[in-house]
Amino acid sequence: MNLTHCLLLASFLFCVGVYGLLTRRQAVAVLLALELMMNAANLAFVAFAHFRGGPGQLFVVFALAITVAEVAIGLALVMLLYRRHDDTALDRASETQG
Amino acid sequence: MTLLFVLALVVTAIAAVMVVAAKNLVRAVMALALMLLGTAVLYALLEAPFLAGVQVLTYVGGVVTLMIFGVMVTRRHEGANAPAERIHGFRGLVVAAGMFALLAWAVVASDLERGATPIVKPETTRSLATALLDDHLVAFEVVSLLLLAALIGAVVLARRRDGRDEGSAILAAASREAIDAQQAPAGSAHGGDAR
Amino acid sequence: MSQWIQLFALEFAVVAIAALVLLWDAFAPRTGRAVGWITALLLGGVLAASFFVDGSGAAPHGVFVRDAWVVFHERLFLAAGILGVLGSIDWLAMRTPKRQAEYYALLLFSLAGMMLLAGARDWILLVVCFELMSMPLYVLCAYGKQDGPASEPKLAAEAGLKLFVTGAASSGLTLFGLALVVGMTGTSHIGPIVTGGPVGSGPAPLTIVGMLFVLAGFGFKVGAVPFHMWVPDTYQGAPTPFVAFLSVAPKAAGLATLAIVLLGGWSASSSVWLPALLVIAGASMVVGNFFALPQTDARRLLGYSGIAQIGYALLAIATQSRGGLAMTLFFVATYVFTNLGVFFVLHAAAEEGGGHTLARIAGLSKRSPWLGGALLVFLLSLAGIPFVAGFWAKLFVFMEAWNAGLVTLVVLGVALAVVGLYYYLTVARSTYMADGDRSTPVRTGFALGAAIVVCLFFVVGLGLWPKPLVEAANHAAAGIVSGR
Repeated sequence: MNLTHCLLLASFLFCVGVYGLLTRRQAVAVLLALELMMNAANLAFVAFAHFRGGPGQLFVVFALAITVAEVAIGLALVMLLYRRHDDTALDRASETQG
Repeated sequence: MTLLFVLALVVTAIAAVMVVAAKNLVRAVMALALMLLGTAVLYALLEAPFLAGVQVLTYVGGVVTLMIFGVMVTRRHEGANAPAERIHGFRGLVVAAGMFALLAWAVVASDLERGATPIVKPETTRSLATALLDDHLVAFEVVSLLLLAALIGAVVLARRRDGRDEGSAILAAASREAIDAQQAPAGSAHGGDAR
Repeated sequence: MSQWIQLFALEFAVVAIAALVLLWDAFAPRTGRAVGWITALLLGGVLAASFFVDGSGAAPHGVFVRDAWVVFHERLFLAAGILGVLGSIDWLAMRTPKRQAEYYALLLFSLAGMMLLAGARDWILLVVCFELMSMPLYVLCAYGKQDGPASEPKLAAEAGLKLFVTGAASSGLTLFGLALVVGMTGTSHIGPIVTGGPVGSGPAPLTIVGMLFVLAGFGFKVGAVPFHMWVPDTYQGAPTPFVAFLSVAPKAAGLATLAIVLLGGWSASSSVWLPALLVIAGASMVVGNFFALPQTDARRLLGYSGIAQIGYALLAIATQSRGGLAMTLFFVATYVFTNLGVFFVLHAAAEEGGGHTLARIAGLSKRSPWLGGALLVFLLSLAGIPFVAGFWAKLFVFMEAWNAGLVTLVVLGVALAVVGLYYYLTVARSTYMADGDRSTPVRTGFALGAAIVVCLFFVVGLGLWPKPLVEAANHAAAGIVSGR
C-alpha cells in the first residue's frame, strides 16, 4: 500500500471514465462516466494528502460540492431533453454538420 | 490492513469497469454505488475518515439515488430494464488505453517512493475545518453561491410550463445535501473552539 | 470586516442585484421588461462605481489579489454583462414573459464568478469560481420556450447538455491534473512548480502530465482546437442573445485564467507548456478559419470564426511578455464588443427572417441599411480591416508575436487572416448583394438597438483612437507579468 498503487488505481478509474464518456450514448450513462472521472481525481487528492501532505483533503471537500451541483444540473438537463425529445440518446439528437 | 487495501482496490477497479460495461443502466448505477463505497473504504484506510463519511452520505446516499431516479424517469415503463447503447467502441478504447499508458508511465517514472518521504501527520477533521474557514474562507463563500446558482438552475430547468414541479424537489434535496456536507466541518470547527 | 467589503464590493453588488431581481420577481411578477432594464441599469451603476471604489488589496493568505489586472477584467465583464442583458430583454419578454428574472439572476451569478476568477491566486478558489461561472451557463443555454412546434426548444436543450458534458468533462480533466500538480508540489497556491529533486532536474513526469491535463481542461473551456467540437453545435442550438454573451465573456475569463496560470504561476516551467500552447494556437487558427468556409448557418460560421480568434489570442499569450499579455487583453476587449455586435445584429435579422442561415439574412442591408451597415462594420472588425478596432487588435498581436520570435505562427496567422476575410465578406455579400424574399425593414426592439449602438460606438471608437485601451491593458498586464 503506497502512493504508486493509489495513483495507478486513480489513473485507471479516470481512464475507464474517459472510455465511458466517449462510448456511451445515453446521457445518464455519460453522467455516470463523469462521476468516475471526478471520483478518480478525488482519490488522487486523498492519496497525495496521506503520503505527501498538502491540501488534498481540502480540495476534495470543494470537489464534492462541485460534483453534486453538477449532477443536479446534469440530470435536470437530461430530463429537459427527455421531455422535448422523448429520448436521451445524445447523438441521435445531434445535427453535427462539420 | 494490506489485505483490506487490496480487497478495496480490486473491488473498486472491477466496479468501475462494470459502470461503463454493464448492458443495463440500472446495473451500471449499482456498480457506481459499489465503486463509490470502495473508494470510501480507501479514504478510511488513507486516514481521511471525514471524507469517507461524506462520500458515503452524499455520493452513495445522494448522487446514486439521483442517478437511479434519472434512469427511471427518462425511460418509458420498462421496469428495471434499461439497456445501454454504445458508439465508437474501438476509438474510445484506444484513447482511454493510450491515456492510461501515459499516466501509468508517468506514475512509475516519477519514482514516488524514492527517499521514503515520511508519512505526514494525518489531517484531522478539525484541521480541515480550520483550513476551510480560515485560509479558504473566500472559496467557501463562493461555493455557497455556486450551490445557490445550481439550485436555481435546476429548478428553472425542471419546472414544467404548467407549473408542476416534478423534479425540482428532488434536485433541491441534492443541493441541500451538498450544503450539509459543507457545513459539517464548519460545525466541528466551532466545537473545537469551544473546547 | 470592512476590509472584506472593500475588497469584494463590486462582486457583492452583483450578487445583491441577482438576489434583488429574484425577490422582485417573487413579489411583483409579470412586470414586463422592467426586470431586464433594472438589471442593466444597476449593472451600469456597478460599472460606474468601479471607477470610484479603490478596492486594491489582497485577501488573507493571498488567495485573492485585487490589482489593475482584476479591475480591467471586472469592467470588461460588467460591460459584456450589461450588453448581454440589454440584448436579451426583448427576446425574453417575447418568448418567456413569465420567466425572466431567473435568466438575469443566473447571468449575474455567472458574472460574479468571472469577476472573482480574475483575482484568484489559489487553485481552490480558481476552480470554484470557474464552476460558478460555468454552471449558470449550462442552464441558460437550455433556457427558452418549452412548448411550440419549432425544433428550437429541442436544439436548445441539446445545446445545453452538450455544453454541460463538455464543461463537466473538462472540469474532471482539470481536477485530475490539479490532483497531480498540487499533490506533487504540496501547495494549492498558484505559483512556480517547485521540484523536490536536485537543482536543475526539472519537474517529475507526473507533474508534467498534470500540467498538460490542466492546460487541456482550460483548452476545452475556451474552445481551442482540438477541444473545440462543442462550439459550433452550442452556438447553433442555444438562444442567440445568450450565445452573444457566451461567445465573449466566458472566453475572456478563460483566457484570463490561462494568463494567470501560465504567465503568473508557471512562467518558470514554460518549457513544459509552451510547445503545447503553440500547437493549440496554430491548430485553432487553421481549423477555425478553414472550417468556417463551407458553413451556411451564420451561427456555426461565427462559432468557427471564434475558434480562430481564440487561436490569435493564445498566440499573444505565448509571447510570455508583458506587452504580449497587454495585447491579449486589447484583443479580447475589442473581440467582446465586436462579437456581441455581430450576434445582436444577426439576432435582430433572424427574428424577422425566421432563421440564421445566410440565405435567410440575404438582402438585410436593402431592408434596413442601418443594421446592414452595422453588421458590415462588425465583420470588418473581425476580419481585421483598418480603422475598426479589430485591425489594431490583430496588428498588435502579430507585432508582439513577431518580436517574441514566433515568426512561423505570425506568417501562418497573416495568411489565415486572408482566408478569414473571405468568409466574413461572404456574409457581408449576402446581406448587400443578394435579394431576400422580404423587403420590409427589420424591426428592432429598443433595448437590442441600444446594445448594437453601444457595440458600434466602441468598435468604431477604438478603431479611431485605440490609445486609452492600450494604456489600460498595459497597466493591467503588469499585475501578472512584470518587466518589459
